[in-house]
Amino acid sequence: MKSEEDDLKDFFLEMKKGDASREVPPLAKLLLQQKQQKLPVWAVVAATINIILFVGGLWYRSLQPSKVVDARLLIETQSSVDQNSDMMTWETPTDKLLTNF
Amino acid sequence: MTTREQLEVHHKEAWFWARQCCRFQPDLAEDVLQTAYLKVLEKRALFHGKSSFKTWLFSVIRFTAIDMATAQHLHVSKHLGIDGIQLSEVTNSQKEDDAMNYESMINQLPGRQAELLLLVFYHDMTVEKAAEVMETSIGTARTHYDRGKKRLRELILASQLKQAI
Repeated sequence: MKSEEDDLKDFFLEMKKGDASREVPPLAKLLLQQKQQKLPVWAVVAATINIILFVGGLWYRSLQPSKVVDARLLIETQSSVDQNSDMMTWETPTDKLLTNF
Repeated sequence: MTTREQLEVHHKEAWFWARQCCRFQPDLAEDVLQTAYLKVLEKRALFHGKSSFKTWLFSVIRFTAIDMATAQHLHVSKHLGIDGIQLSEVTNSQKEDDAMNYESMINQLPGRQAELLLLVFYHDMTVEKAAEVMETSIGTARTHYDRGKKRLRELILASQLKQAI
């Protein structure tokens, strides 16, 4: 006499028989594909954007006037200001009072 | 025995389980199995020896399949604009092909019921082991198991009647 679960056992047994003829991808093939997996697309895009920004930044900096020249001009201007400054020759109105007669 | 050797021992069963977790989509199953093996070999999934290696490996494969199916579901939804699409719906067109198509009949069962029946009847596990794979309580597993058996029996009977006519 068939038990209650025999129909289900038969069902899965037949299913197994059908699967027996199916091709199973070899383990080595799966593991090899893992090693060969490429970088994710987002990583490639991010790296490309970084490179473009870096190169663009360098190019932009090359277009800017040199800051060394600016500094020299600043020093020169400063020194001329110092030379012409009235502060160097300025005297207080009561300075004469300090003079010993 | 090394992890690689253990994977070799269980590879065939693992392949069929991955395929079943992916609702019999071979391409997705291959991706799932690759990812699961990578988790195991890179020790992102650790075997602590609490259960058998096969039970643990099946659990890793199942959760990997769930993660990848979720990702695929979002992808499909984005492109087709369909909300709530399920993996089973993707393969529903296969149902009409063959009245006694085992895979189509399994696909007509709710996910957990299908998984439990496959683990018990196809992979020869006890309900307790199947519950470990699914990381669910034995009580919940038994409920899914009983409902699944009832539903599948109805489907088999309907299919047999259809064939008889």
